[in-house]
Parts: sequence; structure tokens; C-alpha cells
Amino acid sequence: MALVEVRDLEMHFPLGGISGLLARLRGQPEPTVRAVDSLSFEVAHGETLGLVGESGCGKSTVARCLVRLLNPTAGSIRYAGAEIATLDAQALRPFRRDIQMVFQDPTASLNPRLSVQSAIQEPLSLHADLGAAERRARVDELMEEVGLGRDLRDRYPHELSGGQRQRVNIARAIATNPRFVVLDEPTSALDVSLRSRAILLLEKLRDRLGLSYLFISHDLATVKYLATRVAVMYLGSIMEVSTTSDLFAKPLHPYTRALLAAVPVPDPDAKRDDFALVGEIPSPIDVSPGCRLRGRCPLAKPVCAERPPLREVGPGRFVACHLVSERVA
Amino acid sequence: MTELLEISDLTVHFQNDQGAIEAVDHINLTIRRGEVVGLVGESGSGKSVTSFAILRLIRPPGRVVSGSVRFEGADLGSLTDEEMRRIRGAKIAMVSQSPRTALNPVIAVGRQISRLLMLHGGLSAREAEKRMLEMLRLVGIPAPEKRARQYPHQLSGGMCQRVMIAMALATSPQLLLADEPTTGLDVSIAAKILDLLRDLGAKTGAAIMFVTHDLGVVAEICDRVAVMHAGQVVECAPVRELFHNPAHPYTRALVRSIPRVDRDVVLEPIPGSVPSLLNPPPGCRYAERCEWVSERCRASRPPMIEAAPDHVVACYGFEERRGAC
Repeated sequence: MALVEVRDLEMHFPLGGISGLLARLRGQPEPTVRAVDSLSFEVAHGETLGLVGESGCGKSTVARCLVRLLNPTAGSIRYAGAEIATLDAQALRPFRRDIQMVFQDPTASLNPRLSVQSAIQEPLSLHADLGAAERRARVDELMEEVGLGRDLRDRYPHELSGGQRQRVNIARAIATNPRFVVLDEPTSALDVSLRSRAILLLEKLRDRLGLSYLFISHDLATVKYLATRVAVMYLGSIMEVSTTSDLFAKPLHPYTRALLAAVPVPDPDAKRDDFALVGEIPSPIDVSPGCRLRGRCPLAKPVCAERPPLREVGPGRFVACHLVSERVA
Repeated sequence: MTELLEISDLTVHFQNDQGAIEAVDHINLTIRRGEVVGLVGESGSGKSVTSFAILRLIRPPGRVVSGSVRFEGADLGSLTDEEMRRIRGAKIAMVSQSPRTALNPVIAVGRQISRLLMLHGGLSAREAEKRMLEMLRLVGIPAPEKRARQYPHQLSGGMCQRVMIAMALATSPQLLLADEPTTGLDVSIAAKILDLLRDLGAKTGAAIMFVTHDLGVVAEICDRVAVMHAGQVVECAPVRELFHNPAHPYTRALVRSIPRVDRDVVLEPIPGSVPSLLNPPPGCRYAERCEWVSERCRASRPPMIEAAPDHVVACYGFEERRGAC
């Protein structure tokens, strides 16, 4: 059984404002942003699922639904077999210990008035029944684990570098011994040399503590390094799911192919795939019926007017595209 | 023939109450006509300060302590403010990292470009309008007549960056300073902006100084690369030479420290962190992070030596190792 199972997850945001009010007065359905639209995936024990896609595709909304910072419009989220998508705050508490999250902006996600020590201690006092001395010892252990020197214990976020701040966030996230950690672009705000250290830290923690990750990023190189499987998202839906090695060796969905072709490779002699999409990502307010990529896909055919389902085309390989034939993988 | 841009011995300090922050330290860099030169390094390595110094936009507490910037043979430091204004935006243009903040939020984007053309190109309002629409079309903005009347907040980040590029190239500059123009954009949009810059550079003959920390972008667009570390240029080479035969240990470490999509790698982060530039020690600023460090490196700054034709490096360790083989 998978550790986390997401089925048909939907997250719609009402648009509100004048247009929403007018629609309500006219008795019409209020216009909504379909940020996440019938999305399904699984994360197995010890696995890292990479979730990639461009800004606005709904990656972070998925993350927020998983840790229940948002209440999904519809669909199911099962954690270790238990349904958590509809639990109220009280019933959710025991799950909070097990499911943690690291956010993209290491500065904004720390309370500027809490020292490193108090920040790391906070989840412990909420979720663990420890005495003061035990808590202190656990903070030391966590700081050591993420590579923060003891001298930083009484520092405040503004006295730390970006890399150190993200380590504090990671320490907070693993403080309660979670099994599943949602990482929302945890390395994007970091400089090149710090980024590789953060990646290695996340890799070490996963292997040592047996964590499962949902690793969200638009940086495909980092995803390739960390993830065991990758799900590619576009306009609120999954376009392709595959093991990392298969996906990077041979992307099947035109969107995946265009995404990979666009990544600059640090090799001046690299051969480039010129495959590119037309235009820019459209608004998720009026998603046209049919394939979401239609309008931008250079390969589009009349059949694409019908929405392609995500179907298995090879072992563990799912693609939502009419033009990918069976058993290509 | 004189080079398009010659930076010699440029030093920029930022004074604070504890001393001088040596943001750019005695750097030399040449940009030839029509070529794309990458300026690579971590944050705080002095890349952006260098481009501001070229445009003479260093303001107190910053100060150009020594050195000169020669553009088409003329020393920019000796020009009057008025003469410099005629070069800035007209002959040397800049595209910055955050297009949305660089554009004026309360003026329609088309007008921002046509105003510039009237100011620098001496065009009439009607001519400027026509040329503005041409430029928007050139950078690939669909329905330019409609877009020109819109404001920056109505355009996507990629569109804003296209407008910035249209604006920068409107006056046909000889040199374009592109300061991380693709950072913060999605990969597919970034790839299109890179293609656009490369094509336009080739079409207009403008040289580009491309400031970035992304080695992938460097490999994609640059002819020559200067690697900066802690305010100093440590190595400068043609792009193939730099990737195939990196000479400076920092360059080597930089290449090994990034995950890549094109192959499986073992990540090796660069040890240590960028040293403080407040009253730094006299020797090589990479010494504390370097695998090849020796006493000599801490005592004095290594001079630039030639590693291969058109390839220079500032490293004692490289000098010694080359002698050995």
C-alpha cells in the first residue's frame, strides 16, 4: 500500500470580485480558478515523487492541500490508508506530526521573533510530550542533523544566511519524526553553492530517517537528482508520470518534451532538441475542453478536442496524450 | 582596431563604518564587437556591481577607487554627466533581472519605449510610435498595438522581459548589459528569451555582457566567459575551452557542484562560503575554499597568466601543476 494516495483531487477557487457578484445575482455559477483538476498520484514508502511544472500550474496548491492548509473542493487524500481530505482541525492533529512541509521562501516561513532554538522547539512542544531537558537535547540533535553549529542556537533569522535559514526550516519539519515531508521548491531561493548542499542534506535525511518526499520544483536538474519518480503537471492536471530515468531518457508527452528541451545544459557542445510550445501558459479560469495543451502543442490533431485520460502506456508509465501509442515504453 | 569595451584595473569599494567592502577588485575584462561575454559567479561576487560601474551608476557609499572603463576608445570616467547620459540607454543599454520593477508601473509600456526613442533617437512622436511597434514585433510580442497600450501589471513576466529587451535594443546600442535576464522566469519562457537575445545580437551586431550564475545559460549563449569570485575575475576563456579545460579550481568546483539533466552526477558542493569582502586579506580570495592552496596563495594575489591562447587564469596552483606535466 502506498503511504500517500491522492485520488481525483480538485481545488477550485471562486473568483469573487465584481464578476463573481454579478454571476451570483444572475443566478449563474460563479466563475472559478480550477487550480487543481482531478489529480491522482501516489507516493510509496521511502519514495521521492518529483512534481514539476511551470509557475501557475498548481504545484503549490497540491502541496497545500496535502498538508491541509487548504480544504480541497473534492477528491480524496489517504495517508497510510486513512482519509484526511475531509477531517476537521481536531481530528487532523495526530496527522500533523506525520506530515510536514518545507516552504520555498526560507525567510518568510520563519517567525522573525523566534530564535533558532525556539523555532525548532515549537513543533516539539505542540506535538511531542517531552520535558524541558529532553526538548533541549532534541533541538541539539536536530541542529546537528541539519548541519547547524551550536553557536547559532540563540540567533534570530535576520542573523542567518539564506542557507542556514532553510536548514532551520528543515529541522523544524523533521522535528516530530514525520514520515512524509512535502518540499515546495526548498532549494529555489538558494545560491548555487548552497543549493547543492541543501540537496545533499535532503538526500541524507531521506535515507537516514526513511522519509518519503513530495518534491516540488521547476528545476528539472534537481528533480532528476533527488526524485525516484516524476509527475509532470500542466494547468492543474498531470500530463505524465514515470520513473525518473525513463522520463529524462525519453519524455513521451509533448509538454514534458518541450520542458526538457528548454533546460539549458552546461555543455557548449550539447545537442539541443528544438521542440518548443507555442505561446504562454493560458489562464486556468476558462480551461477549454479537450487536451489542455491543445492551442500550444505543435503536434495537435483533431482528436485532441477530446480530453485525453491519463493511461498506462508501459510499466509504471502514464501519459495523458492521444498521440502516444500503447507500449511505446 | 580598438575593442568595444575595455575594463582595466577596475576597483569599486563600498564604504561603511567598519571599513571598505571591496566589491570589485582590480578586474580586467575586454568585450569585442558583436560577441557575447558571460560574467559568472555566486551572489556577491561583484557581477552586478561591475555592470553598474560600466554605466557609471555607482552611487555613494560606493566609489570607483581605481581603474578605467573605455568604450569605443573613450574613457567613460572622463565624460561629463551630460555626455554619459547620451551613452547610457543609447549606446550601452541594460536589461535587468526583474523586468516588472524596472518598468514604470504607471506608464503604458509602448509609451515607455517611444519616449526613449524621442529622447535618444530624436524621433518625432509619430516616428517613435512606429519604431516602437516594430520593436515589439521584433521581440515576438503578439498583437503589439494592443499590448503597447497596456501597463506592466497586465503583462506576464516573460512579456515584461520582452518589453525590456525591446526597449534596450530600440536605440540600436553597441553593447547590451543583460543582468540575469532569465532568472525567475519559467524554463520554457527563459529559453525563448535566450533565443531572442542571441538572434537579436546577431541581427543588430550588438555585443552582450551576460551576467548570470547559471552555467547552463552560459553554455547556451556565450562566446567567452569570465568567472568572478569575491570581486575578482579568476578565469576568462572561450566557452568551449572553459567547459573542457577549466583551469581555476573555483571554475572546476562550480561545474561539479550543479545537478544536471543531461547526465547522472555525483554532487560536490563548493567548500566554504564566499569570504567577507570587508577588509579582505591580501592573497587569493579563494584560498580558504581551495583544494590546491599553498602558503604563497595566502601571501599574495596570483597574477593573471595565460593558460592557453585567449584563456587566462589567476592561480598559483595551476601555474605549478602545469609546470609538472
